[in-house]
Amino acid sequence: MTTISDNAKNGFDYMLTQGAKLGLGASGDAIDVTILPQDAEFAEAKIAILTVSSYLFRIFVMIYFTQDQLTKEHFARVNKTQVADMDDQAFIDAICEAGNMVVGTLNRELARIFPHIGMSTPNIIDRRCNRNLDALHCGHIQHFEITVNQAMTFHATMCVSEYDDLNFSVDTAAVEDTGELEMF
Amino acid sequence: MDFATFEFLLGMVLGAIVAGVITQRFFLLKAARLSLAAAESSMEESLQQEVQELLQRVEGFEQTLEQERSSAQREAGQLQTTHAREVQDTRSHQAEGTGRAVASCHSLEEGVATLLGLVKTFERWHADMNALIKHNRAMHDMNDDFATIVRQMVIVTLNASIEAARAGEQGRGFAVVASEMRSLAARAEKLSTSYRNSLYENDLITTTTFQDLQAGGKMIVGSVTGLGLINKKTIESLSA
Repeated sequence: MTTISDNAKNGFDYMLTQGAKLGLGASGDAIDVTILPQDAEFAEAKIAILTVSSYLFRIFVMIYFTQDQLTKEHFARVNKTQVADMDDQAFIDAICEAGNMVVGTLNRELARIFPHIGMSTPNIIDRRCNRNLDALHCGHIQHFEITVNQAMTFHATMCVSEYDDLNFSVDTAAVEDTGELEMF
Repeated sequence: MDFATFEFLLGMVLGAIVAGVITQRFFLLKAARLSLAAAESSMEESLQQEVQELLQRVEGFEQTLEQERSSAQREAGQLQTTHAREVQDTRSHQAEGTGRAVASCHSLEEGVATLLGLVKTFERWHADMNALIKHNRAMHDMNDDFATIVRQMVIVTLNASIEAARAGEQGRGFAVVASEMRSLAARAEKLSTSYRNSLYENDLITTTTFQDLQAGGKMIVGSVTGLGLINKKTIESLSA
C-alpha cells in the first residue's frame, strides 16, 4: 500500500498553481487559483489532458474548456492575435499550448527532485470522460478554479497515481522571494 | 792569618760553593733534560702508536664504508631496475585497461545510439494512439446514431400505444405489441447510454495510457541521452 504524504500533496497542488498562473494568462494578468471541493462538477464541453510520468508516479492534468466567444477572446488576447483569426485549429493549438505551459512548469519543478521524468503532448477529450476518474486509481485528486482578471474562468483537475510512497516538501515562502520552488 | 788571606780563602770557599751549586744545578738540569727527552720520546712513540692504530681503524672503517656503499649501490641499482620494471608493467597494464575501457565506452556508445532508436517505437505508439482515438470517435458517432434511432423508436412505440388505445378492443393485441416494443426501446436506450459511458471511460483510459507511454518514453530517452553524455565525457577523459 503506497501513500502520498500531505506535504507531497500540497507540493503537487502548489506546483500546479504556479503552472496555472504562468500558462493560462498573459504577462501582468491578475490570476487567482483556488482549490475546489472534491465533488465539484464542471460545465465545460472539452478537456485538454496532459501527463507527467516517472517510474514512481504519473500525473494527469485536465484543463476544461468550451470553444466559446469568451474563451476565444481570452486566447486571442494572450497570443496577441485577432479573434477573427482564431479558427478551430488555432483555438485548439492555443489551448494545447496553454496546457503545455501549465504542465511544463509542473514537469520542470518536479524534475528538480525526480530527475527521471517525462511529459506527454496534449490531447483533447470529452468533458464527460471525467466521470471515470476512479479508473485511474489515483492517490490524490484535486480540482482547481483559475480566474484571470476576474473575467475568464478555467477549471482544472490534477490526478496523481503513485507507485511508491511519495514525500517531499515545497518551501512556498522561498518561491515568493525568488520565483522558484525550493524542494526538500 | 791576616784579613786579606781570610778574605781570599773565604772567597775561594764561597767560589767553590757557588761553583758546586752551579755544577750541581747543571747536572740536575742536564738530568732533567735527559729525563724530559726520554719522556718526550716515550710519549711520541705512544702517540705514534695511537695514531697508527687510529689510522688503521679509520682505514678499516673506510673499507667497511666502501663495502657498505658498494652493497647499497648494488641494492639501489636492483631496486631501480625492479621499480622501472614495475612502472613499465603498471603503465602497460594501465594502457591495456584504458584501451579496454575505451573499447567498452565505444560499445556503450553504440548501445546508447541503438537505444535512442526507441524513439521510433514511441512515435509508432503515438500514431497507434491517434488511430485508436479516431476509432473511438467513430464508435461515439455510431452510438449517437443508435441513440437517435432508439429515441425515435420510443416515440413511435408511444404513438403506437396511443393508436392502439384509440382502436379500443380491436387494438388490444396491437397495444401488447406496442408495449413490448416500448420496453425494448427503453432497454436499448439504457444500453446506448451505458455504452456511451463505457466509450468515455475507454477514451480516458486509452488517452492516459498512451500519454503515460509517451511521457515514459521521453523519460527513458532523457535518461539514455544523459547516459550517452556521461559516456562521451568518460571517453574524452580516457583519451586525454
